[in-house]
Amino acid sequence: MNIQIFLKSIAQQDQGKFDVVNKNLFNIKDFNDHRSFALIFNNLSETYDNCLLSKTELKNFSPELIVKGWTELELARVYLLVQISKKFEQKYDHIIEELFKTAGISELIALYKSLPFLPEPKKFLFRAQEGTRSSINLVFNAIGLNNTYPMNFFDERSWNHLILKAFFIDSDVSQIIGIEKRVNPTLMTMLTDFAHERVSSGRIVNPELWKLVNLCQDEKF
Amino acid sequence: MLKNNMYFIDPHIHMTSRTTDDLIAMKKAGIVAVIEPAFWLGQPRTSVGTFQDYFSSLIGWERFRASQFGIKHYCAIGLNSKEANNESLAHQVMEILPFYLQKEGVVAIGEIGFDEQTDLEEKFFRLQLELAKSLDILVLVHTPHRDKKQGTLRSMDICLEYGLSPEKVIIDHNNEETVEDVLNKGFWAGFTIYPKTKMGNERMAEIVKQYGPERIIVNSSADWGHSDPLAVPKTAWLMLEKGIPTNYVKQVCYTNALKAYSQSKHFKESDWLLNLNVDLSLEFYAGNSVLRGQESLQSIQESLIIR
Repeated sequence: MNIQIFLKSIAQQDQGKFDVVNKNLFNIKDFNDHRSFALIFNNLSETYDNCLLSKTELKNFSPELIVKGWTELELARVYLLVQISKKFEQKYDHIIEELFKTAGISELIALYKSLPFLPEPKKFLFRAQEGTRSSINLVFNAIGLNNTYPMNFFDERSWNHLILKAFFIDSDVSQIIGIEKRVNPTLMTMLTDFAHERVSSGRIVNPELWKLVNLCQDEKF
Repeated sequence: MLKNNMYFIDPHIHMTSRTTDDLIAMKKAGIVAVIEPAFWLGQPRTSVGTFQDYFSSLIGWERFRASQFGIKHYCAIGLNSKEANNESLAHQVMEILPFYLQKEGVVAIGEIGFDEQTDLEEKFFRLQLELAKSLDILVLVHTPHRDKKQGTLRSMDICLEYGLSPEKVIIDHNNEETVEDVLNKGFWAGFTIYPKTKMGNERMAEIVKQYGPERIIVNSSADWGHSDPLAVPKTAWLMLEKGIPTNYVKQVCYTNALKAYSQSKHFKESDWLLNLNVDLSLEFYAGNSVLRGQESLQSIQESLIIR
């Protein structure tokens, strides 16, 4: 099941709401009309709630579609972004770039969650890395947790810093996709140094860190 | 335990110029929600990009930062009166306002109005009132600190000229000279408790004694000047000491602000009511906390130890 079908199936559960989404996008003809894109993206909050998708909604989709912890509003926004990428094939990256510039927190979260589902996710590498630098934990978590983007597109340096930061800010590292797959010697050194720092300063070390270090060691580099 | 079991709204405070210490003190004093209007930064901006980034910080970082200390943060977005005097820049700001006015947490267009009452200030005040009317959003009006009486009357006349309902407009920074006209014309009357240059809280108590609590809203407008982010609770406690009835105090320091701004769909009492009984020693908001570890709000400020 691809993301389009999945998103559509959820969004369509309320046909009335869904028609509003499609109609608003249909009315935009000019790819430079950034104000209109910004408004329809933002104003989805009038139609969809920011409440978590229910278990019944979630059980119908395949495991490779990671929508854990998504809300209805996020789903609608991601659906809209995917539709934009289809309607404006040549310019969608430019349109989405502009959305990043004026996005509020909940919009940023939807933007980061959408990245793996866009046609050429690599185009948004800078934005994804920027998201991991955010001091707004909600934003960091949107790109770092339950998101396949870093695993698939971050180089080793960015990946290692994502993991290290997640430990540093006490994020739930068990929700980082690919954390066990992408262990590497540099990461092991960074994590053990970090752990020693914590111990010397009398602070707790997350037991998940040691699990990961052991995994690195097992890999026999 | 909150003093007198009271909690407060500060509907006009510039958190961008306040440190996190203030958020902690505000939380301890019982402030549950704040509204931060867009203003200038103490010196003129020279490009629209800085306005854009500032607006983004009001809906982004400041909103998040306050939430980490248990305070719900809302904002008003607008082109302030001082910077309306840079005409070409002001036009560019008008272009970006529509991107922000309907964002989550944005409860009004503001703070707009007059500073010196120049033609350009009037031009952009009018343009923003038109915008407010077309989007049906609330207006927060800054009244001038010099030639205040004339400026306030003029501001209200222009609002009425545009057909705005007075109950959707908050006229701020009132004093003894302006209060009567503002209340008589049906507007909300904001009072800024700010040392030396604006209202004092003893005078505020007298105003409430004279006019009653209706449509009066107390705020701090705390910014980068000598100001007090606890002005609202301190005014409430002083009023109680002076024998003003508790329900009057609650109105001017909480309920009236709630009523005025609940006219915006982005401002709801339920946003913060659920948080009120949280144990102060264990603060987690939205799943994470800048208070890493288990330090209580109490111990952070009083102890000699920094750990």
